[in-house]
Formats: sequence, C-alpha cells, structure tokens
Amino acid sequence: MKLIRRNFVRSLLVGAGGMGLLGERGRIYALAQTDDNTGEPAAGHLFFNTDQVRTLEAIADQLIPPDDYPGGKDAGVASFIDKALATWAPEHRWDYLAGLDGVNESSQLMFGHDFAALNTQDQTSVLTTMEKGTAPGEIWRRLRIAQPGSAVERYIDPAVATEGTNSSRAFFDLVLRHAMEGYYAHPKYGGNRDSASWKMIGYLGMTHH
Amino acid sequence: MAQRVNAVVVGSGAAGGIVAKELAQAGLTVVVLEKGRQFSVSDAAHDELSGSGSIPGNITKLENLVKNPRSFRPDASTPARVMAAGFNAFGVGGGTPWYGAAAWRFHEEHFRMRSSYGHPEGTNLEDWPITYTDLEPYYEKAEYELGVSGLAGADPFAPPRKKPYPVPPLPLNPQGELFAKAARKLGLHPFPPPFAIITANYQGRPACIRCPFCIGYVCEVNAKSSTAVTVLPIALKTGNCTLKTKCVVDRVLTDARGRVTGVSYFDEQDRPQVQEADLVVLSANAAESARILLNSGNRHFPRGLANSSDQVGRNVMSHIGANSFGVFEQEIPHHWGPGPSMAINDFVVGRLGGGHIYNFYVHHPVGFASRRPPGAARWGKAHKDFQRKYFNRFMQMNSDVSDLPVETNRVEIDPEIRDAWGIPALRVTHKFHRLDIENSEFIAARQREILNTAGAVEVWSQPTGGGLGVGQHQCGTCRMGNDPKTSVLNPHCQTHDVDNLFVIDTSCFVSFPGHNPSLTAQAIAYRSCEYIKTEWRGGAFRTKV
Repeated sequence: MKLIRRNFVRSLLVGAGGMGLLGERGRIYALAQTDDNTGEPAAGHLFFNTDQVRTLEAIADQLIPPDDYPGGKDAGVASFIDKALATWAPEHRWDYLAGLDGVNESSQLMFGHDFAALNTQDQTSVLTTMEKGTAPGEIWRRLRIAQPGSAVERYIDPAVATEGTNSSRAFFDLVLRHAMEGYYAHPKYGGNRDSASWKMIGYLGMTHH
Repeated sequence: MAQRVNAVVVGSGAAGGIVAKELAQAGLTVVVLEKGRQFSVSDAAHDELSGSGSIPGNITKLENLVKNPRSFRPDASTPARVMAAGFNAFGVGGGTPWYGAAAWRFHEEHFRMRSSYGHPEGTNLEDWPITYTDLEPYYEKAEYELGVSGLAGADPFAPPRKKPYPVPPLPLNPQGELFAKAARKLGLHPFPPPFAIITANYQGRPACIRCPFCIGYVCEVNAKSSTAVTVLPIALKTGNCTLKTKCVVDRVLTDARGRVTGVSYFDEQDRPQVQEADLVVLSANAAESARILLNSGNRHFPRGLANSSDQVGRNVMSHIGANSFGVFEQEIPHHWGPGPSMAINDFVVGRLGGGHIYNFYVHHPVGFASRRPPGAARWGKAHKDFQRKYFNRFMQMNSDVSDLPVETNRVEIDPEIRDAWGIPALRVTHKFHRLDIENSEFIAARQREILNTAGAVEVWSQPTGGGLGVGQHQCGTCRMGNDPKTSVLNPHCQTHDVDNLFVIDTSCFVSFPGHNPSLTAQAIAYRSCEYIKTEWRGGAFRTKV
C-alpha cells in the first residue's frame, strides 16, 4: 500500500500540472509529464520495475491466455509495452505507472491481494470491472489517461474519450490495445516471440515475398 | 529572404503535386512548401505497426499526433475536445504515398445535386459551377499522367469516358470473387474498380507486386501512383521548381492593395521565413488551406483572407463510413494485396450521393483483433479462439458514403489552442446530417445482404452515425461557385476576392458523393492550371486590379 500512496500523491500533483498544460497557449501536448519510474528497471527491461512487470504479465496472460500457443506473458507482451514506453509511446508512461498501481489497488479492495497474487477467477473479475469502468479505488477517480494515442480512433467510443469519474475502463482499453499489438504485431517490437501468433493464425504477411 | 518566384504552392499532395508540375512545365518558377519529409521505398516495411493506417500511436505518426492538435465538437453548443489531427499522413506527395489509391470519377449527377434533389432541410446543397463534361478531359489527363488501372465499360453506371484506362485493373482475388458472385445473385453489377496503382510497367515504374501492405503504407516498388513518384519528379526535372520539405506555412501575405505577395512559413529549423511570389496556390488540404486563409486576416480582410462571403471553412464535409464484416466456414485466402478487386456502383446514383461498395484491403492480425461481432469477447480465451479460427475466413465490405453540405459544419480558428509552431489551430464543428446517417445505414444493410448471400456464418456492421467526421477525406471548406456572395472560389479555384490567390485541392468541392475524392481534386487541379497557364502572363494578374 505504500507504493500506492506515494503514486497517488503524485497523481494529484500531475493532475494539477496537466490542467496547467491544457490552458497554456502554444505547445499543448507536452509528451512527458512526471513519468520517472521508481526503482531499477527489471532485468531485460528499459522502463518497468520487477513488480510492474509481474503485474503486467499477469494481466497479459488473462487478456491472451496460454493454450497450445503461448499466452500474453510468454509471447512478450510486457516487453513490448516496456519498449513502447521507453521509445515510441512515451506519452503513456504515466498512464502505466499510475494504472498498474490502480489495478493493484482494485485487487486489494476486491480480494485483499495484489493482482499477480490472485487466482484466475479473481483476476478475471478485476479486469471485468475495469472493462466496465466500475473498478474500485481512488486512483481510477484521479487518473486521466493520455489521449493523443487513443483519441484519433475514427470511431472512438465517447465514453472513453470523455473525462469520466472512473478511468479504469480507459486504462483497460489502453492495455488491451497494447497487448494485442504486443501479441500480434511484428516481433521486432519486442513481443510476438518466435512469431508464435502468426503461426497460430496462419498469417503470411511477412513471408509472402 | 528567398528569391521571389512566380508561384508558391503550399502542399505537395494529390493536387499540389500536379500544380507544381503543370506550372513548372509551363515555364513558371515555382517553390513548393511541404510540411512533411521525403519518404521512399526504404520506408516501406512488411510491418503492420509501421503503417499510418488504423493503428493510432504508431511510430511514424507520433510526430504528427503530438505537433498538430485540433479541437473537435459535434455542434456549437458542445465543448470542443482537443485531439491530434489524425488520419492525415503527410510527406512529399501529401497523403498519396499512403492512400488506398481509389481513383474514382464522380458521376454527372454529383455535379448537379441541387437540380437533382432540391434543398433537403438543413443542407446547403448546390450545383457545382462546372459539370462532369467540363471535367472529363481532365479526369482522362489525370488517369494517364498518374497511371490509373481499371476496366472501361465494366461499370454500367459509370459516367461516359472517351478513352480506356491506361493499364488493366487489379486482378480478381478470392474475396472479390466471393463478393461478385453474391452481388450478381442479388441482381447487382460488380466490376473491377479503378486504382491509381499500376498493373503493368508504366512510364518507367514497375507493376504492383500485390504485396499486402498497401493502404497506410509507402509502396515498396513505387507502383502506387502517388504524386511523389509521378508528377513531382517531372516538376523538379524542369529546373523551374524547388521543393522545400519540413516547411510549415502559417500565413498568406498581402500588400496595401489587398493582393497577395507570398507566404510566411517556418523552415526545417523552425526559423520564420518569407517566400515572395506573384501568385499563391494553397493545396494544403481542405482543412489546412482554410486554416491558412482564416489565419491570414488583416485590416483589409478582418474575417480572414478571401472570406468576404463568410464561407471560408463552412460546409466542411467528410465521408460517413459504412463497414460490414462477415466470417465464413471456408478459408478465404487473403495474402495477396492490395485487396479490393470488385466494387458496385448500384447505389451511387439516385441516392443523394450514395456510396459505392467494395471488398476492403488485406487485413492484418492487430487490426483483426478488434474486428468482432457485437457482444463478442474483446479478450480472453474466446477472443484468442476467434482470432485463430477466423483470421483466414474473413471479409470486409467498405463504403465511403456521401456527406451532405451543412453550413454550420465548419472549420474555424480555435480561440485557444496552437500547434507546435505557435500557429492557431483549427476547431472542427461537424455532425453528419440525418440523411447521411440514413444513407449509411442503407448501404450497410446492402453490405450485410451481400455477405449473407456469399455464405457468411456471421455478419455484422460497424455502428454508423458516430464519429466526429472530418478526417482523411475532408473537403468543401472553400466551395466554388459563380456568386462571390455565396462561394469562395470561382470555377477555376481562383478566390473571388484576390485575383492572384488560388485554392486547389478538395476545398472547392460543393458536395461530396460516395466516392473517394482524390482523382476529382486532381482533375480540377489540371483544369485550374490550364486557366492559370492561359491567363497568367508574368504579372497579368497585377494589371487587372
């Protein structure tokens, strides 16, 4: 809970800073807010620490469960997102720092443990409440998910784009999008290890020439 | 300060590239200012995330997303939300290096919408001041100079044409075959649609190799007839044309008499610069050309340049999409690009602009992960199973459906936000008209009929009527007309108010039928340039005031 408290305080501060940015004439989108992570990056990672990797891998395995083909964890979804935040999607760093804390806060409130320690059924429950935008916790009330990446969807769901009072759904949608990219996109981005997903679905996009 | 030239062209896209080539070939000195950078075959990759298509936040678009905010709202009583101006890839060639390259001619009726349909309530429907017959020779010129594939005579609804297409159509693929069979069963008239993609060696470029990375991707062999690989190289070869990339124009400059003298812009190092010219051509796309005019107001033009009519920015249109999807029991191999190989125009005429229907481009795994019927799992085991079972048993029918002009649908300068260069950004107010939504729902229902007839086991449509509109098919912000009180441009895309200022892109569209806009913008570019070449005498404009 200590980690949650510290990041919660940070979320309040960044919330206020964010408002200031929006009112500023000129460069509206400052890429990075206060997005320094706490602790050393996990082995083989650029951005996430060990706890965050564990949480994210547990989420990835629920979004894309293992069967005779790898699940999200073994396919490298967390590595993909880690690389994305470190390189081409820095605008979502803060979303993940606060959002992963939010997932654990919800898990604690619903089942008394962090997300990674829950059984499959309880993990599914947490993710389902997030998908519905009803996950409990203070962080979801405070967090606003960065819009530049997600708001350009042509058919964006207004419920996601509009600032609501519970951002668990917006964070769920962000992780879901990144998980699908990490699982099904080109392996060079750090996910889709051994092109496993492409073999699974019979995708020849890469190889036909 | 850079040397004064005859013409400065703002934007090197679908129309701007043609303007550059036509004017430079005619002996005018031309500077083209392009906001984006040069892309080439080395930027092509068989990599879904590299494309600028359906994946927001991807690598190539990040700069665009972050530097170019716009605000959007459905109507004046709703607060505008700041969003990146997505779906507007830009580089040398504008959006044409990435576009899907559909190369439609509008139909005769689409130029006389008021005569055909009157004034449906809430619309600002008018006839164009030019007819299909006026434009036909220029459509032909665009098809031949750029390289468009297609099959003349195959579409019974097509407007008359004098010459066949320069190269044959893209070959039939399994999706097209399935679609065509079902369409015929329903009494419809499928045919291979026209694309600015060459299917045989043409003017020194090789034929399409049918790779599956087309729409949203730079072509790896230059078979896509973007202006970057067709007309722009010709313009540069004349020696009369200079192309300056990463240059962002903020204003058109005027003299004491209200004539334009050039443009101001930020160069590659973000330094403010001025390019003086005898005439200015804005070809920056319908949103951005209007933005430049609105940002160029001064004592003479308090509402923005060339805006005595108060029509600059109004009637902005964009297609309303209709998309339906079907999954099948049998495999439908889809490995060969670009994907679309059959279309129908049965619903394009007689339906307020209507919409054509075609089988969509090759799909890829990440995009397919969000293609699910309503209520289907978005994640978990069921989602993975669907992906696995149906990735190679899937077909998408797509239509771009007419958007009727509405005067309160407009782009204007946002009172607060600015882009990365400090230039006031656009606020877009746009809501589809009730008849657009009805049209879109009608077309989506036809798509579902086709998919059901083709034997799909499950069929669904994307919900219609949503979205804020005004994306890659934006048009209509500076409509052309004969009356300076109700239009911005004359039939040659010259502003009514300022004789040495032209807007040559989709801004001039008076209405927007259910066909992709680029070939029409390009035909208009050829026609307008003929006017400039005929009328322009190294300063003739100057003496006319």
